[in-house]
Amino acid sequence: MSNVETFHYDNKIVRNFAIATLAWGIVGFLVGLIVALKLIFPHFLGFIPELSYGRLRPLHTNAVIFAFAGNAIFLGVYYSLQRLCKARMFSDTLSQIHFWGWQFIIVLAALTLPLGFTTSKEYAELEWPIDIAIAAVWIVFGVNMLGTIFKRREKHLYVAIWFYISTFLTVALLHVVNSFELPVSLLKSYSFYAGVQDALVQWWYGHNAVAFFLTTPFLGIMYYFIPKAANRPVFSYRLSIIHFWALIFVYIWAGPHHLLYTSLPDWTQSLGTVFSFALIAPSWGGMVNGLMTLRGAWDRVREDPVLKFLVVGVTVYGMSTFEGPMMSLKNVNALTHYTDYVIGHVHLAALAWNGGLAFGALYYIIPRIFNTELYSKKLANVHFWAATLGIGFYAIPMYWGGITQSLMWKEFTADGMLRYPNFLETVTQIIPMYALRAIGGTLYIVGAVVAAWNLYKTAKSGALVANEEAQAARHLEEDPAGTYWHRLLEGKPAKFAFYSFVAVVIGGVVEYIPTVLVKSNVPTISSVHPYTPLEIEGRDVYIKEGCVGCHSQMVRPFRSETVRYGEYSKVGEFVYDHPFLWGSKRTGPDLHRVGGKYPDAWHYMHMKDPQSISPGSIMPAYPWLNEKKIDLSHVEGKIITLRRLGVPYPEGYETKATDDLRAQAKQIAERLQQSGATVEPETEIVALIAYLQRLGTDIKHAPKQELEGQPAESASK
Amino acid sequence: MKNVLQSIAGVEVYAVFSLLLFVAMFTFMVILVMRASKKYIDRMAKMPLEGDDEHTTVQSTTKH
Repeated sequence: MSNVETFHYDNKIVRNFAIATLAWGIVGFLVGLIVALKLIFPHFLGFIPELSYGRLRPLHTNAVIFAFAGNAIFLGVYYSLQRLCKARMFSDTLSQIHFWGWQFIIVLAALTLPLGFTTSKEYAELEWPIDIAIAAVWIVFGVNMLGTIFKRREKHLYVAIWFYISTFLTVALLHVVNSFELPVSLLKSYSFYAGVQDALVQWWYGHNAVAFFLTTPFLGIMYYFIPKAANRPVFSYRLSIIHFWALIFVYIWAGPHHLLYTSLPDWTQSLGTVFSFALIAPSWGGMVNGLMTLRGAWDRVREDPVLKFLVVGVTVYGMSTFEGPMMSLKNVNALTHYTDYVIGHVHLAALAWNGGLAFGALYYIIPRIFNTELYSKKLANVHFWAATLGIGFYAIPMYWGGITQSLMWKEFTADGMLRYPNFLETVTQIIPMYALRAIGGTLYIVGAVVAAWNLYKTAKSGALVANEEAQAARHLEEDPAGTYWHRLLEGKPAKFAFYSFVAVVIGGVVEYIPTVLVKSNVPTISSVHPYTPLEIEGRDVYIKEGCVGCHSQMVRPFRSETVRYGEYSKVGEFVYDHPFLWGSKRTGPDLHRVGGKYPDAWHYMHMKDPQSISPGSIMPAYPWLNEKKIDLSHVEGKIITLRRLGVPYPEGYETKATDDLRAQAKQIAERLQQSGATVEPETEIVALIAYLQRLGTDIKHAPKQELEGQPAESASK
Repeated sequence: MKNVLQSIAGVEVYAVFSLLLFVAMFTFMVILVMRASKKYIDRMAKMPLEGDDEHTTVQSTTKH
């Protein structure tokens, strides 16, 4: 036939993403193991600021999410998209820019996070110049993908591509909205939002990043690679269409929905609960669709390492998407929130679902693009069992430890006292669980290293087919089979992209409006004042050292918490918090009411050598805070930036700020001196003590007790 | 949190609106999918396996 064209798939870019997936994966897992060991041996790796727990934890999460899972997504997309579109990628140059740009961003993250440059917003820690670079590279990816779709030789878009398109569009939206921040300097910025509003935006982002970075692209990978590996079509294509639309429509709303429905009348609360639960339906629809594709081919799961990883991945996807809605029930959430249960939940999903699909795709792709057979099936089986056992050893101790600790936090004696008033008791109780978790993680890493070796030997045994020849008809043939609506929806990619974008934007807007309204509805507490310049510096030290990784600043209105910590947190207390620092996990106690609880000297000693004050504590020491000087050159800029964001510092205050800072620092240094601790006033420890002593104290003061010289005008809205 | 959101006039409208919109969209999709022709569905389902398709010949990666 004359209209049959010969063209070539770009396998080299696929190989590059495969190498990046494996390399960054192992790095990310190793950093995870290091932070896991630091929770057992707090002085592991010594007292190097760049290698401290608080700085390495975000490095771990960013590495596994954006470097490992990110490159795995691109690996799956670049391989399957070309074949489903019967076309080479739109532009080799864009493919190159995308690949190297993404790796460059990862390197920037690996440098800036340990150096302490962080916004502190979870999974969005990177500072503003890197945020801009991410947006640029992401757009390159999108253009390259949409360009390929436009020049395709296949009329219809297979459902995997729908998932890829929605991933691109939604992640772009999430990233841009959550990254609104005002720079102070090249690597320092403050969130555009404050307090409760910042929290709502952040968790709208956080929830949907899980949805559209760790779920939808991997569902696309599932819908392509399971049929390929099983060599049979997907169980129900009709179900996959419903799966797609229901999932993207419900997911974008489900996250903050549990924040919303508490404020509603009873009948809407019931509806809201049902609605949140609705997410189980599309998730399980997808799981059933993936697993049922293997009907009649289950014997092959025993043989084929690709199918093994895919099957365990999809099964765990089903478990995690059941667990998620359960944890959003208020009574379950009260038990699991802030505990290691959440850590168990995310690792079960990340290691088995994201890891499983990534490794399944790698085992499928590498032998094919190198035109050879897998080097060793036996090693792949070793990897499979090491990974599966590792996941078990990871998740089960975390579930056990999380619930144990939560129950200990809540336990009262018959006299109505906390049975474990010392938080540390509840930590030392679960350290054996931390040890088991480290063993599980080690097993998973061993498996990954075996996989890398196996795939390396596989590649060596063949030769890369850099440009794989393929043939297809040139023109998109008219297919009378599709109805008008189907053609409208997915025969035309631009319209399709538009509709799916509308779906998520409607969800986003419906959610965003109450979020914006919240700002003007937060009751003002007249005694809540902006932070002093020294406290801002201290807060920035708190952010830089990643304290938020272990300490929450949100006392929930439970008796067990108000007895332990003090008055529960009020939303009006956070109106000047750019960014919010509520945290999501309590490896250490909540700090919102720590202000005034201990003398300055206690904090000084505790930061220098925590175990001298709390024997058995797993808090790492921060001896460098005593030496490091505060950088005074940005004090003025910080005041100006925060005022622009709505913090009511009087006009011209910035010129006085440095003097105020010095005066307050001198006071604290003198108090420390009286207790026998000699420290320079303008050091980070002094700033941090100033901040910690201020935390949560505003509501205790009458407005008249303002200190002279402090910016004290309250926001009267 | 609860009280803050409650103080927003008519905030429940957003939740009710989103629920209704979802139900409408879901019903629409189910009807659409049920009405899709079997031929179309079969063709789409087989798309990833099209190495063996009669209309298109994609060269197998394993050379014979």
